[in-house]
Amino acid sequence: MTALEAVATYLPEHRVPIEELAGELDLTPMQVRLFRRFHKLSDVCRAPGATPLDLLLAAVSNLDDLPAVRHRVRYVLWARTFPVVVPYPLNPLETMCRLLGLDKAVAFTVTHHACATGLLAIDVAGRLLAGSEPDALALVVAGEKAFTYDARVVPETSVFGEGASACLVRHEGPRDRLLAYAAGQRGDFDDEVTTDVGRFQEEYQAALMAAIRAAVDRAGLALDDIALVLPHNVNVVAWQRLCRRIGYPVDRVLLDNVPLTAHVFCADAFVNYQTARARGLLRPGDRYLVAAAGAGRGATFSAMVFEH
Amino acid sequence: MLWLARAARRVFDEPAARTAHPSHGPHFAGYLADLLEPYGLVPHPPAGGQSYGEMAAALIAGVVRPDEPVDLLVLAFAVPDVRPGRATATYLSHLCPGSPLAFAVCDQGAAAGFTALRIAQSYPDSRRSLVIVVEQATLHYDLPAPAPLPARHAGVALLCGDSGVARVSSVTVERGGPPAGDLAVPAGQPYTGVWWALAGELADPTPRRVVVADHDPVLGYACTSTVDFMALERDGGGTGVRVGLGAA
Repeated sequence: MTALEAVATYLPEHRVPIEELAGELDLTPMQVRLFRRFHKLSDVCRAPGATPLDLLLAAVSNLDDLPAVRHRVRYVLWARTFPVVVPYPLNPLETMCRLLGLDKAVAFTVTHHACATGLLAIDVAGRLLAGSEPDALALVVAGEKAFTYDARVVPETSVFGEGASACLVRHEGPRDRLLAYAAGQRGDFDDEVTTDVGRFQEEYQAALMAAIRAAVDRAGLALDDIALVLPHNVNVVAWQRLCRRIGYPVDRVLLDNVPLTAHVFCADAFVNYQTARARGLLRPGDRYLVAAAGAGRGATFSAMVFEH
Repeated sequence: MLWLARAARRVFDEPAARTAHPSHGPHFAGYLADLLEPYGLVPHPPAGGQSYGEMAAALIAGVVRPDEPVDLLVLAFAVPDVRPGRATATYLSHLCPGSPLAFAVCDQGAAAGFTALRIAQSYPDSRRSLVIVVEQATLHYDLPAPAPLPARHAGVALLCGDSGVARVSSVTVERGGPPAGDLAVPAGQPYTGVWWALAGELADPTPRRVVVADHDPVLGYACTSTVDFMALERDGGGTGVRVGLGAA
């Protein structure tokens, strides 16, 4: 059973209020007010001058366990929202592996689930490790630059902030065991199929609820058994609405980071995991759910249930 | 155990139809400019090029019948296409019979196709898996570092599953020098060439072992897959899907 071994994150110290982003995001003053007052978005982290490699290295350097277990890392996966983030053939993942002494590991990027790719990467890493020696590890990293308009804003929904995460995954392990994973893909939201962007907004809640219910069912649990939800940090109001519809207390959804970081691509889950651990919100035996929706010409709605 | 059931391969001579869409040029130009600027590169005019969505859609239509639901689709690529921000595999999930779990692997050069096959092996409950390897030849900027660039737009789809004409006995991706293989790889297809050749092998029913091997010169990956073609009979429908009868 796939398990998380260690998690680390990096959030740049430089914070930018969303009002200062209005120009580059083409936001009207009304849209900025909506983001702040209604969606509860406030600041994003930015690392001016930093490259994608810098972000990934900063997160991995916070992974205290890595130097001692470097030789056990068989796979390195970059979970990425945007399929193309540097000019071909530049390869920050490969450079990262070389700098970290992981150049014997098999490294590749997983993508096309947009911001839900982080959950996919954990599942894929665990599956690949099933064929390796029992103590083998995979390093799953996430983190991207807000380098172009599409990577800075989700229209009417959220803004992206920069940051990164690094997570060691085992095929079997005692900490944070993966009980179930569910992903629902909606290629019918691709702009080749529809130009009606309103449909995504209309069906978003139902699609994410379906993924959550599927993951909880597959774990053999009921929603009441879930002690905590680690959401994607797109905004607060979407989670308030979802909780009302699905019948889950919103105060058990960790929304603290929405105003502090906004949506950190595929790293949200790990940023929120760190906050939950720091605040003592996860006790041994607790079952918790991680949820993410990724939208970018097609949409993927994903949920994972873990036991801490 | 993963079996190879059927394959489709195709060269795409024309640019993607999407490149003629009025919204494509401005969006692609903006994305390219933002992508290249931090690296001091200048975009060429964003004309031509192929879309992996269009290429893979054609391959899916050629290899998967409507009554064959696919459980897993893994798209492998190295060179970016003309829709670099698109979740193409998610779109393909919508097109492919069975609405499979679909995702992409990249940033691994010639090893990505092997990793896709290795991932397909890791989903033992999938009755059918589709591995699609694609490459397109138009880069809209000068290469910032040495790397292979395809001479043509090409794609290969391998329909795998719990039955088929050849057993995928092993898939290995590791760092090392060029491994020995059995297939003659066409020139100009650095990322699809071995899969193109493997797809061609499916026309020959002779029982034999074929070692599919490739090497990525930039990343130093040595990749092999051993594929055993078995003594086979047509299935009851005689429709081209064949069931392995050899000892597993």
